[in-house]
Amino acid sequence: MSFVELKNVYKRYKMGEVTINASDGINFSIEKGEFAVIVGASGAGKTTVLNMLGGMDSCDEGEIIVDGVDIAKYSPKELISYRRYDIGFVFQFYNLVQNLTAKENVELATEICKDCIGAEQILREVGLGDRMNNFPAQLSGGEQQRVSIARALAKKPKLLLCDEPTGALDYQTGKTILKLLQDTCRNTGTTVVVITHNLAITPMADRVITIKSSKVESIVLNDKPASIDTIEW
Amino acid sequence: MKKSMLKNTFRSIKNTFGRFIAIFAIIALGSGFFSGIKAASPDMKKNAWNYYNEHSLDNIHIMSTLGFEQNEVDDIASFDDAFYSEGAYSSDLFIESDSVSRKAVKVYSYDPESKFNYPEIIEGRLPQNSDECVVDYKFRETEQPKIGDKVAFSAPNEDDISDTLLRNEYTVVGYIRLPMYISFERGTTSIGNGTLNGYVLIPKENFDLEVFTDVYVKVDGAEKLDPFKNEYDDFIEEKINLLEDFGETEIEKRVKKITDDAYEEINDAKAEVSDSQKDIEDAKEKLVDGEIEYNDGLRAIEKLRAVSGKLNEILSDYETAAVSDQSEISAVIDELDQGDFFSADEDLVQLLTGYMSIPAEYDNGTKAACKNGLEQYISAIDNSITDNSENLAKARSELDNAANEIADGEAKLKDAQAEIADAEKEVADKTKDAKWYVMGRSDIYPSFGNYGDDCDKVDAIAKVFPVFFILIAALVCWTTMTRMVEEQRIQTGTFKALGYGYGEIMGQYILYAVLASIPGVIAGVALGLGTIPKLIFTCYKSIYAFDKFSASFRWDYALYCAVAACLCTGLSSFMACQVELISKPAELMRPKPPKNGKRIFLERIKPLWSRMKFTTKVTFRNLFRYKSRVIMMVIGIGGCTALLVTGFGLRDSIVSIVDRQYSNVFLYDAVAALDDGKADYAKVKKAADDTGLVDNSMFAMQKVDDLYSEKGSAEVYLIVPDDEKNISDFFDIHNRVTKEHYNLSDNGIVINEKLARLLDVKLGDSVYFEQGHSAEIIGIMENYTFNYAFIASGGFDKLGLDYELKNNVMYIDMNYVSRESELSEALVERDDVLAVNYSSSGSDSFRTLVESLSFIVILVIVCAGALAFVVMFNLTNINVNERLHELATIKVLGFYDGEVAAYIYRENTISALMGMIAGLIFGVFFEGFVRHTCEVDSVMFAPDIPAYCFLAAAALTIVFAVFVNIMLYFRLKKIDMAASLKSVE
Repeated sequence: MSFVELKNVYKRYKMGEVTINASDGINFSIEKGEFAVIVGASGAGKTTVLNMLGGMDSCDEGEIIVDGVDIAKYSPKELISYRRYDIGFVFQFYNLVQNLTAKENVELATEICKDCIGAEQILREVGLGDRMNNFPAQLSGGEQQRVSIARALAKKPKLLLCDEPTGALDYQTGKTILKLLQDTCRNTGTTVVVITHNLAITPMADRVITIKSSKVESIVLNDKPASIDTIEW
Repeated sequence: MKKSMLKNTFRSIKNTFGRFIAIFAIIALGSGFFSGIKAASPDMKKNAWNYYNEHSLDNIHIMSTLGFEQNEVDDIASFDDAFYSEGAYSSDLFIESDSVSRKAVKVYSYDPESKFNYPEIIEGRLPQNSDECVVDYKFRETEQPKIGDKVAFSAPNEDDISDTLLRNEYTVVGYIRLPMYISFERGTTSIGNGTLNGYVLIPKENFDLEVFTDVYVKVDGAEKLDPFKNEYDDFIEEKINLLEDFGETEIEKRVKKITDDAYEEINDAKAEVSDSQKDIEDAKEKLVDGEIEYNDGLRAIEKLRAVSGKLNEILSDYETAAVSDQSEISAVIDELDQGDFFSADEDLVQLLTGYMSIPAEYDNGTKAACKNGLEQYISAIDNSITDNSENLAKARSELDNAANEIADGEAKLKDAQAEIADAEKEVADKTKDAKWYVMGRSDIYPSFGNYGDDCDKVDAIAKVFPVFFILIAALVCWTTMTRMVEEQRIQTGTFKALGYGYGEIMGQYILYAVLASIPGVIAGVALGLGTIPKLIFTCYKSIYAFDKFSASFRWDYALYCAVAACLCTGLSSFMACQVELISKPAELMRPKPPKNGKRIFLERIKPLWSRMKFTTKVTFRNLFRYKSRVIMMVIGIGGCTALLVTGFGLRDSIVSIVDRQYSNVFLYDAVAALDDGKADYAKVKKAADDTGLVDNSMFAMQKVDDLYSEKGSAEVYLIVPDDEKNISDFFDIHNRVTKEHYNLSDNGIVINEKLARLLDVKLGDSVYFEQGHSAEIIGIMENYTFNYAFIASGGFDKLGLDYELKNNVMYIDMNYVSRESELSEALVERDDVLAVNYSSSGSDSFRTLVESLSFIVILVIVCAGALAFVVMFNLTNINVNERLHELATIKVLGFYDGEVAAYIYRENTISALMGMIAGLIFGVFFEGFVRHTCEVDSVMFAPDIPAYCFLAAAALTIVFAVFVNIMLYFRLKKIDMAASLKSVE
């Protein structure tokens, strides 16, 4: 069995009279330690999938199996625990708490985690060893995203979910962030799922899942993923 | 405004309906409370005003020591074009029936034609026949008497009821209410135990009095003036002054007429008296003459008897013998001639001479003839004696009769003279101090003045609280609108980029604000005006007997509120927009640069900071970061807590004064008012002591006077005890704060705390009653109701005021307080005791009054609570909205619901606690301010706030905080992480 498996997952939103299928029978699986990229146009339903996978949203139908457990059956409370111990999130807009320093933002995660990496250590690992006591506003976008990644990684998550992590960054910075994610995947064995609409970065992934109109259009396995440094767009 | 902008505005109302409703609600609450409380007093007054107009309560009530004749009543009406007057009768009598025990009531004449004081029928009907009466609706509850009962009246002091009433028995046909009595108070009377139990109306024709006892006057135009306002007072006062002057001339005329009438009779009587006096004198003279005559007669008879005896003697002596000497005959004749009433005439001399000089043996018949002659003479004398004696006896009885008659006449004369003197005295008494008492409503109807005072108290509260409410509401609107403008900065940027002008963009917010404000104001004002005055009025219903209450909509209040609300919401959106409007559209389209995190002061205290838990650090960071929000929260919650402290404190201040007054200050159980003109103090004391109910008593003079200082004046009760050493059994004269007890001495005066404040004086200052008669303040005593000045009798003498020291009250300490009526019976039956009042009933009536006031305060507490709740909820909500992103982030990080809540609760709790503490402190000052504002001159509210008020206010704040936090918990639970994280902050 795969590490992550989605089987016939449906998510429907009722907008008055109309019912919209945000996920219309999604099926895919990701192996442990893989760097997976989910691509699709805006509004294709990528984020819905990611939200359900990250326990931020529940599905209406189907199974979402992560590490052998069907999280679709989780209660809200269990979902929180799932997010707390098993999932790391990285967002497009970093979502750092503005009032906390880089270190404190990481501590926000480590405070509630049982087995975690020290905040200082992880920050050094993402290359922010000397910016630890800076507030988000004092950091550049790339640095903020690094803090965000550090915060996600500090928990030693089973699954690192990144929603357009480079969306708000310039080309070069975006690349370094993707590199950090790829390196993390390779070095720590963390399963990383990245959502993007940028098809150009698919070559770096082990697995590329394309979503179109709320359905999985294709799943492509990449035997030899390229290093991010070699990809240009 | 363009169509799409309008559409956008309406959509945004729909989308942010919660906020829209919040603004609407807070404005409704603020303006509702403001207008409601504000309108309460005018509405209550208006209600009474209408009632008085409907029932045609007299504007001026005149009474006179002489009563009024019809022509005087007419004179009053014609004195001023604006006047309409009517004469009426009233009398304080006892009512009694099989079912009703004897009690004192005021009996009024009922005239269906009367244009004054229409009785309001509560049950039954008005009298139609002269043997019917209607009674005070107060009797309805106990059914004493009930409709259909026959009742009888009796006069006090064994007086004959027929002096007052032609008919004495009446059938009760209904219960009524008179507009003079809107409260449950019926006033006092000089009959019975001094309490007036109610009133009765009997048809006018039953009164058998020569003159009217009362004159009611209505003044044209007065009905258009609010009777509780100064304009009315001034208007009526002017008329009263006119009538008082007029009364003086009328009284003069009346006195002259009474005196003239009386003296016409008196003079007639006097003439008669002098006539009969003359007659008596004449009779006396005659009597004296008669007596002399009579005595002469007596003496004449005696003489005649002596003469007759002598002659008989001579007849027998000279039967045979004869005198030789002529001189012997002369001697006899001389003897007979001696004295008055008889003189021997020629015949007798001849007869005697003949008889005596001729011896019998020489008689030639002459002697015999003489004898015969003598015998005839004697018999003539004897006859005359008999006649005279008879005449004399007759004369005697005549004389005796005359003497009796004279004695009778003299007695009658004396009576007549006494009668004249009485009549003269009566006239003098009647006309002495003859006076009109011209009274306005508040002078004679205590309930009128009380009602006005109570309304003013409500008004005093209305002066402070609602403004506070409005301020807090404004604060909330301000934060909410500001937040909204900030939230929509991207939209603003978009509009600007599309080329919309400032006005159009700002117009949207202002439109939004106005659309929330105006209906809010209308709903709030309508609701506030509809409920609060009525509610307050209902509280007073236990005292005042108005059945209906109509609240009028006040457009002016609505306008004030609307202007205030629109200004507040509009201005806040305008101000918030300023920042956005000067920004370039591009800046607005970019996410707002998040507010920089900052090191806070606490971090510099390393030992403290490093020891703090991570979450605590976050809390403090946030508190310091969002200073303005924290300040808002502190002000909002602090304000509400302060309101609560004020509410509770004020309530305690008001409610506790009765107990404090009667347990800390007034120690006496009863006070008897004495007639200082004729009081026999020793006997009054004995009468009281004889009941066995009195532990101790003290006489004193109690006088109402104006006390002045350099800075003010106030009306006071001046109390001068008979024996100042004794006073501690009746009054506890001490300082409230220092607890120092003051002894009255001749050196100065003790005044109460409130009085000292009114006069702005302190210990050692001097105060005076009349210019130049000042006394030094030697004590400032605890006291709550009315103002008192205590002075020892020696000190009073030193003051040298223009009235003399005469005891007119007796303070009584009872041993069986429950047997008050016995003491009353014993004392009031005395002529020199006017009334007996008991501390228990005094405190009871005061308590009801005070309780009704405390209702209003409770209303304020409830509203303050509601406001506190709304404020907290709104501010917390804003707090959450502003930090949605942050909260979503920590939710995504896997914070459990409880942890997420705790994350924000810590801040809320700390700001709430800070607000609470600030509120508790500010509350002390605010309470003081409100207390001073509400206080009337004659009352001091208890100035200390007991701990429970703070506890209650704090507890309520905490309860609200907890409740708001519980609601917040569900709101936090519902935060949609995915959606909120997707958007830019």
